[in-house]
Parts: sequence; structure tokens; C-alpha cells
Amino acid sequence: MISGNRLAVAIAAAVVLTGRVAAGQGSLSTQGFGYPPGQFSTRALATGGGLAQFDADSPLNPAAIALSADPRVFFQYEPEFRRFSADTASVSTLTARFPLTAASVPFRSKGSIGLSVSTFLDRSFATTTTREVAVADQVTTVTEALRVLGAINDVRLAAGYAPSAKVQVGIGGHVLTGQSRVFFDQSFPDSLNFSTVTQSTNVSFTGFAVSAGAILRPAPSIALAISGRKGGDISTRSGDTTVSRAGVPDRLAAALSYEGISGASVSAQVARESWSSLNGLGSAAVNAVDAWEGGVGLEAAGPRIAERLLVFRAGARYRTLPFQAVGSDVTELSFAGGLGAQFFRNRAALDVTVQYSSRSAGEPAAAGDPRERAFTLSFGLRVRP
Amino acid sequence: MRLNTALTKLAGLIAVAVVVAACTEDLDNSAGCPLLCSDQGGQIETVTLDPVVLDTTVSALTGLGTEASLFLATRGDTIDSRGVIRFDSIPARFQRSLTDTATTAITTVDSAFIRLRVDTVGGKIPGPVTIDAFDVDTPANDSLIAPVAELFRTDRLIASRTYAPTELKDTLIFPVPPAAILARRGGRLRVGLRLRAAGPVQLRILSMEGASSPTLLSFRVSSDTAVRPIVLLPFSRTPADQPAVAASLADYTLLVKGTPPGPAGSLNIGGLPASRVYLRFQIPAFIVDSADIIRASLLLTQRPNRGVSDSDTIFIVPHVSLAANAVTDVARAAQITAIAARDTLRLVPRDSGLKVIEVGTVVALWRSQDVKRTPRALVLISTREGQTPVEARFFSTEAAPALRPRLRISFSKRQSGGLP
Repeated sequence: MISGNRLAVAIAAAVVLTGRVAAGQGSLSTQGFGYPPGQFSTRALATGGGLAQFDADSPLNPAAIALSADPRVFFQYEPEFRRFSADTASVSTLTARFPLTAASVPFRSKGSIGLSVSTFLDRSFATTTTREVAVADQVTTVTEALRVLGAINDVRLAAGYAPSAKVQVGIGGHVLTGQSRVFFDQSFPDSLNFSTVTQSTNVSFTGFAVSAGAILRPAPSIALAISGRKGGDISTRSGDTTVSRAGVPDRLAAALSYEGISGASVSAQVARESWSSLNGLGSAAVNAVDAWEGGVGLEAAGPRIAERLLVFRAGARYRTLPFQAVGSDVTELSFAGGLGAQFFRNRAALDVTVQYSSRSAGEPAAAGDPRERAFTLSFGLRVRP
Repeated sequence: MRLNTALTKLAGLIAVAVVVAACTEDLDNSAGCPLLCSDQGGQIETVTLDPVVLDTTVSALTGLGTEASLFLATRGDTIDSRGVIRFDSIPARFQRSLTDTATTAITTVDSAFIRLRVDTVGGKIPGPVTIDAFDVDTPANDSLIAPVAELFRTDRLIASRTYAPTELKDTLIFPVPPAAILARRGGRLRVGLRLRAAGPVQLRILSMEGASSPTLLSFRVSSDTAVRPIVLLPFSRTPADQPAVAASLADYTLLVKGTPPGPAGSLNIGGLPASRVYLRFQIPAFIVDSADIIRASLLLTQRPNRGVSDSDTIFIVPHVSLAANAVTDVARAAQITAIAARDTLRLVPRDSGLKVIEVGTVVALWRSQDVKRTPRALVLISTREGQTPVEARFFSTEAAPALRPRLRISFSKRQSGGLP
């Protein structure tokens, strides 16, 4: 029996607390419609995504929520400290993200229903450039400031069911929604004779997809997972006008987890995402490419500190980002480590992850040799009310 | 155990500090531009239009006495401009002190003078200058010039005073004979001022509209120094049924002979009597309503005014006309204006060639106007309208195409679609 109040609270929390996401363009990682944080929970992030297909908080495999025995709410905060460099120029940025909020409630004894809101693509950046331009008979300096805030978020309603101890299955329905707010200023030193141009645009996104997945445990120490998402249409609207239309990327993923080592598990994931279906949603200059992603990680029980059991995690991940930069694919290699602990009689759990990522475009390096180094801190709080 | 607890608290504090520090976003990634910021800026396009559908010179219609200064000039055959100051409240009795309610008849006057504030900017002082003051009191209609002008004659002369050029700065004291005051006790004293010099001469005297109490008449009515002198400000009792007009006529410029009119078909700004230029525009809607206008310039081709000296200058400011279609008289429409542009054009009237007035803010204002109700029009006005004979002249739409008034508009071609 699902508590109506609990479900309402969970839905409200999921919608309200999935905050604004932001990132910077003028960077490799946020080309096109932006950077995909990956839809990993803090725990899954620390294992390079290896645990993502088995993790109930990561909205990738709907089968993963089947065994959630209690109502639960999960919040995640994830600032990224990025340093971009190209030739002799470099700049540091700080992007604050709230990439994932999830809630689930069990139904009957073998199932669970969950609602999650996660950042699918994060497109927020600010740039300021100056150049010389001829205005009528006068050459003057123009300063152009562009600020874009927005994201495409994935709102998923999923149901998981475990008909036996060896099988979990799940299905999910996705609504991809969000908006992109663009603020553009063009200003001139001579404010007496020149007027500042100020433009603001608001574009909203609406897309649909369905997903399904399964987790199999053929042996006590081995778990296999497979999931897929089938994308429908996604469109952009400005006011009441449809601006463009494309497809939500399909995704196919498989994962393996080995739990034969006492107190530890090793997991790995591989996924293929058909980002190219987004081509046409933006301008012709935006080129999305289908991408592979792979990750492997370890989760192990550690010592007790302050009467709490610590869990250590480590992992690595390699992937191709969806949007090309300077005509080349952008790749990302990440190493992560983290720990987790439970509090309040195990009704709350806090996970902390630190991830180091390096990103580059092209091999050999693209013109200008643009590169990024990023440290991502991820804080995940799981509560069982 | 204590060590573990301390470590836990320390870790918690560090985590809180990191979270708080990470809440302040810094998204500026400009170092990646232009390499990774292709085509984020907008090109700027400039078009030059012939949008003037009506242009004409109209009278400033500023109203007698509304000028900020009295223009006094005697320039031979070209300009004859005088000033009139009215003191319509000469008392017949006085109080010895503020606490003494009894009044005493004025029987003696001493130390009488008129204080004037002089503005010599744009003035012409060839040498010593004589100011003649005449009694110009007349029952003739207030708006008439000729009946007053003919009173500047010898039998009406009140006093004369010659000033060295070095004395003509800021405050000027003009002595008045006591008899002139005594003769008008309980009545009115209206003084006409005219300049004389060895050559063409002109200067301006600040008026009641241009400064706070710039002119006053002072005289003593008792040899007792405990009795304060009587101080009177310019004041007009007529026309009695129009207080606002009467207030303006407390002091005013009496233009006996103005500047010669400009050539037919030209657009004339300034001069005496003052004129201004009315320009009505018809601009493509896509520019005014949709384009992000960066700069808008009114291009005028100046034609030389040989009737002024090389050192003469004039400042022209564009006003936006707020007159609705209901105002069909262009001369009246040119009076209903507001300052909407920050640019002031400084010109030498003897000069010629292309001149540019920036009107970007006016065009921006037109965007909010309903063109069906309010025509898009500019009115070009001299900043010293009615206070100087200097006149600037421009070619109108009747001239050759290259000489006509035009509008040059630069606008951003960037169209923000909100998508990458």
C-alpha cells in the first residue's frame, strides 16, 4: 500500500530540489546542448559508473529500484572546478550542479515505484569577448557578453519488480524537459552615441522516452544488468512556436558485478548512446556523435570510525562526450574515489566522491590544443523517512 | 574513540566549508573564445535612408518674455534688439521698520539703481558700451512691439551710463535718477534698455526665466540708515487677465529688427525671431520595431550663413515631437516636444558640409510610440533659442538627393534563437 502523503512529498521534493544546473561554454565539455553529467548517483560516480546499472538512486536501469524496501529520498549536490587551457590561454571556472534528485516507495513486497529528476544535458555558460567593429563611419570596440543558463532534465517515473531473488525487472517513462535562457549584451565604450543591444531568449524543451531493464543474479556472487532507453521526439519551443525537432537519444547499457570477495564488489559497465539523434535540434554547427562509455569500479567495506561503517569506493571511466568541438570528438577520462557512511540509526546515508577528469579534443590534438582538467565533488544524501 | 569523534567533526566541518565555497558559481569561460565560441557575436549592419517626408522651418513661437535672457544688440542695419523691464509696483509709502505698522509717504529717494546680471558669452563688445534707459510705459497692448519701440526717444530718456569692457561682467549696476522713481510713486516704472557703442555691440542680460532674481531695483527713501532700502523685483500687472503672460512680461526682449530670413527652401535654426526645424519621418517598420538599433544619426548638409562672423557658434539639440495627429498645424506640433537625445551639435554657421546629429535615443523612443497616433518627428532647436541672432541653415528635401536630410541607422543583425 503506497502512502499518498509520502508519494506526494517525494514527488514535490524531486521536482523542487532538482535545481538549476550550470556549466561554461568556451570549453570542451559543454559544446552543443551541453555537458551530460551522466545521471550517476554519488555512489555510482565513485565507481566509474560500474555500479550505475545496479544502483537504485541512479536513474538508468529501472530494474534497480525493485528491491527498495523502504521509502527513500535522495539528493545530490555536485560542484565542478574546471580549468580550461588552449595554447597560452587558460581559465578556471566553478559550476554548481544539483544533478540528481530521486524518490521511491515500495509497493507490495516485491516492487517499488520511483520518481527521479536528473540532469540530462547541462548548458550554462558565460563568455565575454571584445572586438573591433565598424559602425557607420567609425571603428569602435564592441564588448559582447553572452550568458546562457539552462539544461535538459530527465524526469523519470519508473517501476521495478523482483519476481524472485535472482531476477529484477523494471520499466520507466521519461519526460525530457527544461529550458535554455540566453542573455546577450552588446555594448560600446561611447555610451552617448551608441546604444547597448540587449537580447534575451527563452527556449523550452519537451521530449519523451521509455526505458526498460533487468538485473539477473545467476550466482550468489555475480550480477548482470542490462538496460535500454528508447527515445521519442524532442522539440524546442520559443513561446508558442515550435523551433526545431529531433529525437531523444537511444541508450543501451550492460553491466557486470562480482561480489565474490568478502565485503567488496567489483563492477563494470559499458554503454552506447546515440547522441546523433539530437542533430537537427540546434543549428548545423552543432554536431552530436554516437558515443561509447565504459567504466569499472570497486566498492569495499572499510573500518568503523565513530561507530560507523565506512564504505570505500574507487573507479575509472572513459567516454566520448556527445558534441564535437573544433571538428573533433571530445573524450573524457575520469578517475574517482569516495566513501560513504550511514547516520541516524542507518536512516540517512551520506556519500562523498571526488572525481578527476581530463578532456581533450581530437587525436592528435585539435587546433589550439584545447584541454580541460576538472575536479568534481559529489555529495549524496539518502534519507529513509 | 575521542580521536575518531574529532576526526568525524573535522571532516564534517571541511565538507560544510567546501560546500559553501562551491555555491558561488563562476561561469566565465572567455579564455576559450574565439576557439570554442564560434559565431556568438552579431554582425552590425548600417543602412542610410531617405525617410524624411516633411521638413520645414517654423517659428519658435516661444512667447514674448519667455526667453532665458534679454538679448540686447545694436548691429547697424542687421539687428536691433532691446530689453524691457517692468517695475509695476513702485510704492507710494513705506514702513520705517518691520515692527512699525505705521506707514510714511515717500517724499525723497536716494541711491536708486537697477542691478543687472550680464552674460557676455557670445557677446560682441567693441569697446566702451553705453546703456540708455528709457521710460517705455505705454497703455498700448502688451504684445505690440512698435508702440514700445517708438518710445526709445530722447524725451523719454531716463539715464545713460557708459561702461568699460572690463566692467561688463557678471553684475552691473545702473544708476537711476531719484526723480524717475518719485515721479512714479504708487504707479509703474517700465524701463527700456538699449545699447550703444562705436561698433556693432551685443550682450545678454539674464531674465527672470533664466536665473533666480537676476534683476532688481533698489532705492532708499530715508536718510535714516536704520530704514532699509526698498528692493523691487521685475513685476508686470498687465495683462491683468493673464497672470502667466504677465509674469513673462516682467522682463522681455524687444526685437525691433531681426535677422534676415534664410534662403527659400532651406531649413533654418536659430536667428531672431527664433525659428526651428520640423522633420517628419517614415521609417520601415522592421527597423524601428524589430531591429536592435545601435546607432542612429541624422545627416544634414549645412549651407553657409554669411551674415554672421567666423567666431559665431550655435548649439543644436534634437527634440522629439510628441504632437499627435490631431495637431495638424506643423508650427504648433513643433512646440510640443521633449528632449530625447543626449547629443548636442556645435556648429559654426558660416561653415558648410555634412553634419551629424546622433538620434539613437529618439529612434528608440519611436519604438514605443504608436505611429498611427503620433507621427515620428524631430524638432531641431537652438539651445539659445530667442537669445542669439546666430542662425544655422541646412539643405531640405527639395535639394539634390545627396544634400537632403537622411537617417543613418546601424543595427545588430544577431538574432538570438536560444539554441546552440
